[in-house]
Amino acid sequence: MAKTNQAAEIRLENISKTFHDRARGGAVHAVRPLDLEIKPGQLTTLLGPSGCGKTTLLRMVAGFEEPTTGRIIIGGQDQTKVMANKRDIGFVFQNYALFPHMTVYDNVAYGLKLKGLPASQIREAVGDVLEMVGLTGMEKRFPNQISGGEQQRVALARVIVTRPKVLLFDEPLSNLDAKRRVQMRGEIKALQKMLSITSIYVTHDQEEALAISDQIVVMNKGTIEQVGTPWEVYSQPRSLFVANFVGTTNVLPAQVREVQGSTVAAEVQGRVFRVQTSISPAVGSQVYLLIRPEAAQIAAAPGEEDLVGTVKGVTYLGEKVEYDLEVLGQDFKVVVADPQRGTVFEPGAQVAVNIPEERLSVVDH
Amino acid sequence: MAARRNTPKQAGLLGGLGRYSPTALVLGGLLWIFLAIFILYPLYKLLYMTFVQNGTFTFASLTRILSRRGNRVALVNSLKLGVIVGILSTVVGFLFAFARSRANLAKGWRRFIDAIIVLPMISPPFTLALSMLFAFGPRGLLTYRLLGMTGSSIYGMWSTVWAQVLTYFPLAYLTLRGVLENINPSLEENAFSLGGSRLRVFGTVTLPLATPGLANSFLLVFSASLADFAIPLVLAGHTFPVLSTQAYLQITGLYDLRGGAALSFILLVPSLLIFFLQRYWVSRKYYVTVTGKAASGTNAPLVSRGAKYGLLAFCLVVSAFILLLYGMILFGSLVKAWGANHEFTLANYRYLFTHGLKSIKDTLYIAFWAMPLGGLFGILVGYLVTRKLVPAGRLMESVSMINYALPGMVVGIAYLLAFNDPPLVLTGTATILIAAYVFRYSPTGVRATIATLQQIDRSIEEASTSLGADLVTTLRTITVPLVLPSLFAGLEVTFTRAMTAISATIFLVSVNWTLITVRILESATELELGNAAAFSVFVIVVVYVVTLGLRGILRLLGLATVQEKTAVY
Repeated sequence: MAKTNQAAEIRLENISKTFHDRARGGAVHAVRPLDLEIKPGQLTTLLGPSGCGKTTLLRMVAGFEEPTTGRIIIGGQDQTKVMANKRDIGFVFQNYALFPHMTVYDNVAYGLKLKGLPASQIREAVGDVLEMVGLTGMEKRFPNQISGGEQQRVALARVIVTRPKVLLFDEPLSNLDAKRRVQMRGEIKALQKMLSITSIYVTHDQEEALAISDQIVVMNKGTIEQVGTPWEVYSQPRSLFVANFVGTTNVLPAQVREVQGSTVAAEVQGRVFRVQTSISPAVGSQVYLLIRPEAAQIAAAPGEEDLVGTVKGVTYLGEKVEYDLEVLGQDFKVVVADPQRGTVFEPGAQVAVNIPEERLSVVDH
Repeated sequence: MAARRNTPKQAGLLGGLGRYSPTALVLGGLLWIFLAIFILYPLYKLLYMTFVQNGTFTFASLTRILSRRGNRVALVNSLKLGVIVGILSTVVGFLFAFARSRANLAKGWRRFIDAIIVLPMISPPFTLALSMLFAFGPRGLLTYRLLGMTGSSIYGMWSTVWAQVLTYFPLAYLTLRGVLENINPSLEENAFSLGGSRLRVFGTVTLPLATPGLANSFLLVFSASLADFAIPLVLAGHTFPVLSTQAYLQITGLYDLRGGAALSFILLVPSLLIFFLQRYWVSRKYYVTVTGKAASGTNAPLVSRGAKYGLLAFCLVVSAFILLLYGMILFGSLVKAWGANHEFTLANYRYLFTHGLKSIKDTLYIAFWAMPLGGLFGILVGYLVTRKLVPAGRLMESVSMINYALPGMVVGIAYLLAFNDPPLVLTGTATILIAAYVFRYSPTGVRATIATLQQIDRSIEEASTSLGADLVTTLRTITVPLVLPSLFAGLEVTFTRAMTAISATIFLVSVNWTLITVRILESATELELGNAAAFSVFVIVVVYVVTLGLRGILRLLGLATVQEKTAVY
């Protein structure tokens, strides 16, 4: 196999992309000026709804789109003006983009042939990589003769065989069924770790992003909402958008009563919660308190001091029960894991709701 | 991402052109020059001749032409013929297509049907008219020899109708087969399982879903019939004049160019109308109604055993009749005098390779020039338009279709008017014949290229780029091989038509350059049927061999599978 590249860092500086589309009233700001740093050897996910600019950003890194402003620096070198074919980047397309007139072998060997490697070396490298992705024996098949999952593996093999500095994935699993998707994302993650190639992975599937990433970049309307580890993005969302897009969350509109250092006291319908946070809102301003459904607890027979909730709906899902409650005049979801016989509440029941303050986060209104 | 497909910024003309590559712009400019010279200019000359007299706009030519009773009758006859042939061909084509896609026929039968259907498509348009003469003519095999009828008249409307139906129903068949194969059989199975009888399912599911296809097929055949002039010339006789033959006689008999132009304008209007109706209305309805994957062609529940064998019998009878007609051509080419002396002779072929040699050489020369040029032109226009490499691509595509949409007769007259006088005198050259074929038949290549390229996602080219290939390498290793099947489709059609077509070029042949088809027509109208038959056999054999050769090359290149996926005939 070809020699391994030193893992490269990617830096995007003040990068933006503006399209002109008369049908949509002129300028479309697909990506607004932003900075982003991607650490060497890591897998970073661009996560966001369709139209958020994540694919455009990825295609600018690949060199398929020219940025309107800004610089792209890969491994310390400015690549902004470098053509896509000189960037040493592997791009895995959503629709695989296999060459339909070439066999599996020829598809995988394509990049190596372009590099002018001797035939014996190509044969060896292709053999190795096909074994790595579990396609040994498929060399002579054409793309339309293999399954979707196998096509995905060929697309993967085709880029990793050249040992690029950077791997870019554009929603690579969206054409697979649910089971195959979970399996393939595990394989992609394992391969990426083994080869330790700096990777950017675009997806709109938050579960996939959580499962696969070292770092997640949540995007919305051409801007970055939050950058962080999966844990940070899930448990400490910086905005209402992030909280809602990554997983399910309960939103409690609150008013700030007091700010002491990093502790904010906020009131919801007469009840005050003290929350640790990095933001410092003004006293009297409106904020949102957020809590994940699995972070709250419920219990039977509410006492005087307890927060009371009314059960409106119950969904039994085997490993868990989801409750739709009304708490403090708000819709409120609680998830109870591993429900035992006889502990499931019926609709209409009054329950005690515990909202642990250390599990709350605060975002601006 | 939604924002990926962007349209060019309209910051003034030059600013807008800035985003196109100079190479593409130069190439696009060249193509426009050719389109202007060989499509727009002749059309302009035709309209000018029809509507401008002594420098003023006038309807005089049209009213003069229409004031003659013969021409009014011809107009009515043409429309009547078109409607009857359109309906009958669609019915026959539908029965064939239905049998092929729904009756669960054995593979052998399906192959047989396809092989027969291709015959009328690769032979000169009036071959069947010729064999109708053999079968039903004054000395016809069926009428005279078998039935002992004398003086039976074949000439007239109905023999024209049947010759045209047999010639044009393959067009209907191909259209409808595509439509029926795209109707998911599970829809019919579903209706059947809901308790509908076979007839009811057919009437309430299959037929309504196929309706846009039926309309499309009718329009295609209607305009083919309207444009056809060879069959009426051989079979219609003086009792049944049609527009196309009138226009022909106006020019060759009366040397009345202005009258011919006016007549062909009358022919042009319904043809263009139908073309745009078919292209922008009917074809759009397809995509709304027909969804789902291509069916495998097995749909057991819909067709009962009786219906299956009924359909098969119908197809076989029609096929046998077509085979019989072609057999008679072959037979007729090998006997001394059809209907009188059936002694075996090679005299007709000797004539072919002596007196006919010039027309053979000329035709092959022209066909072998038109083939690559037509194929190349088609692929270039298709590529530039689909990949949005030039401004106003849609307009370029539409203009490139004009000569294809017009009746050949109209194109021929327009060329005659355009290239007879300076600035561009091409009359009497091979160039004018080659140009006529290239610009009339390259649209097949354009359509094939567009269809293929639309299936090739841009990401395939991007994949090649990001693996390290430059633009030229990507074109050479990815784009060209993938588009090659469309090029071959274009080559095949241009060659076949250059060998078989007559309506556009009959006015363009000269002492210097003549065509086999013209010789066949001359022989047929002068009732030298043996010679005509030998010429026809020769054309069919050559077209068949070249077609097979092209497909063989494609298979050798390992691209046949790609073609099967993207085939459009």
